[in-house]
Amino acid sequence: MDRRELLKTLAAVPALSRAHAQQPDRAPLLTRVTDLIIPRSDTPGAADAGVPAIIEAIVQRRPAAKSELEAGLDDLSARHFLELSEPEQIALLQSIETTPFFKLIKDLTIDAYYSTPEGLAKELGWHGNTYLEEFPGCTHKEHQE
Amino acid sequence: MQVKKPPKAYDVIIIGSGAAGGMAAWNLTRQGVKVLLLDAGTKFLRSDFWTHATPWEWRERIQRGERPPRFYLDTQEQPYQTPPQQPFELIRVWGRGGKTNVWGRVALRYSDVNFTEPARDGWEIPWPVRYKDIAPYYDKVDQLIGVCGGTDDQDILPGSRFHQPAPSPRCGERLMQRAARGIGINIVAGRRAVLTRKLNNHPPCHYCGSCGRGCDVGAFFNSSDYLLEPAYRTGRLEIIDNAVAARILVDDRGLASGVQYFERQSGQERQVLGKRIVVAASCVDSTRILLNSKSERYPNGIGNSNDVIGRYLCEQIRLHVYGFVPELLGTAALNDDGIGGEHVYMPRFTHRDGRKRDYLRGFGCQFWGSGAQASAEFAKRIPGFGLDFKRGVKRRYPALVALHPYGEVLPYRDNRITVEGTPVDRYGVPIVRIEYKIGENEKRMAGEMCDTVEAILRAAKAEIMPFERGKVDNLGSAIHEHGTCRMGDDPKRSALNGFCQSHEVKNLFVVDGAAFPTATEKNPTLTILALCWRATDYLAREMKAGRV
Repeated sequence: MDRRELLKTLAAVPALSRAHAQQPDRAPLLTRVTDLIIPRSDTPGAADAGVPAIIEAIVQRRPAAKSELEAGLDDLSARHFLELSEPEQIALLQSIETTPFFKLIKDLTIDAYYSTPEGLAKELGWHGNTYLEEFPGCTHKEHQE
Repeated sequence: MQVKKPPKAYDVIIIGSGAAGGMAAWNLTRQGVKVLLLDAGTKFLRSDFWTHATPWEWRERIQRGERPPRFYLDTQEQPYQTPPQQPFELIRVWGRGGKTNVWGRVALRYSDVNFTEPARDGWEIPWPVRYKDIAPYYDKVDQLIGVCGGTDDQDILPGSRFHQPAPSPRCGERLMQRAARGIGINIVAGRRAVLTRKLNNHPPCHYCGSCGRGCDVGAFFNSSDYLLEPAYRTGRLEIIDNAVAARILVDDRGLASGVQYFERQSGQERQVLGKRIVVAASCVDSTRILLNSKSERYPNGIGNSNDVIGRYLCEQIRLHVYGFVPELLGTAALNDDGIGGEHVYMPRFTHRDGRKRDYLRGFGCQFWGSGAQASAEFAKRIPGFGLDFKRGVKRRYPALVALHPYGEVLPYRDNRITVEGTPVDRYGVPIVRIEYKIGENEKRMAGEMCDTVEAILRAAKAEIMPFERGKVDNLGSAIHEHGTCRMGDDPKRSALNGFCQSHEVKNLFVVDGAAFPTATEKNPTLTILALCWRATDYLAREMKAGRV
């Protein structure tokens, strides 16, 4: 069911539920999708790292991205994404993997996650931007001549 | 127009405070010359820099309403035009030190291969100087600003006896070197204007890798700390901040007589008188000032009777190719920050491998961003999502290698800046229109640039991230503008002589990248410093002899 159909259907629904449906709570959707993109493993996942809030802050400054993101999440909501099983959710995301919406939410998840201590430091092991007296560089004999 | 008569005529007025303006101020004041320097902005305070903020600290500060210092000039404040379908990115820094506050610190000497190439291949005019003229100045610049590098020496990249120790390459860079050697390509130590040893009162680099945000200890050459501060201490340098230079005034003898400028915030128009004018506002801005300096004697702009000024804008084409080297996949991430940017460099080799090519000039290659970075931008191009994707990102993260070849764009007469018919800025001064595109020559070169970096990566058995062969970065984004006021021996085909002195207006000098007749494949700043030092030595001599 696409968004227009959803709205037409909702027009027939009593006012209270309609108002609620017209302002869908996108936060749980955003959390679920980002967490499926970068799940918890032996290190924190996107939800653990606070990625949804970071994405919300990023798109506040990017109106076009915000609209695209919201439209995509609303579409998932219309497909009752949160009520699906995890394999069904993954299959659905795989089916939209090449869409602009998914590329956007994946890029945002990557930007957000790998800019947190959980993502950049804990998961990837980054320990830069610090003070060194000397820079050792490559010390592996097997990488030289 | 309100004209406030200043109390005196300065011996020398310098417009601009970047590498060239700073060098002019430093070299003239130490020889006893009193100088007024006009800078379009104000000093950037190192204590304001966000050099050491982690990505999450950065975000927290922004959320608290704090803002990092603003280096780059907003095009809303100072727009420029480009024709439709011919975009050009013009990046400017208005403030003390100009672009040297945030520059890439790549410090490569030009060679006679570069200076004489136009004479050999016949495209446009050769430089009016040779390596032997500039070499003593390169030596002096290396020692003054502190350049780290190796002991290599070859025709295209002459050596220096004055390099500070080069930082050790990262694993990925070593692996690139080894792979390239296997296919006959030489990768040498990079040459960077970053201190690896203390120099005068400047501390050495502490390898935080955050140079692009401004160095809060001043461990790399920037004009403000390294040139303007000592110049100021001579007592012979006066600086007017927030002075947006607009036009050079001309007297009835046809000589430059002063500068019209506007106070940046208030827009108040002012004029200062000067007996010699040194223009160092950065390539495009310098030429804009000259073109706008129209008078009866110089209807096309001061010193522009031969319609050379504004023309022959040349930049460099650049592209990025990334890969992951097998030896580093799945290893623990190291601290790869180093001196920020590459520790190695691939000099141009196309001029001596004996192969015939279907294009002129050539390219070198830089290696910015190898190893563990403070982001995972590459992850956006790894397909998939979920646990496998997450693991794939982590596995590749320490193995990243990056290659960026820079190719020389020929000087084309119709690649130019102009102020004809352009709208005016907020001060009523015509803005520039930049008309620039690359030709078949550069497109063919871009093909070989891609083939070369791909060959190195294949020799390294790297996983190569897909790229579009032949596609170059946005024109202008290399931020290496050259030309528009080129020097040359023939006054009919050039605006300046080899001392950056205007052929027509002998008390007018243009000492920044605008003076270059070619772009070469190398970064210009070291050569700007050397040429400006030489030009201002000449100016000081001419002043003492009473000839200028």
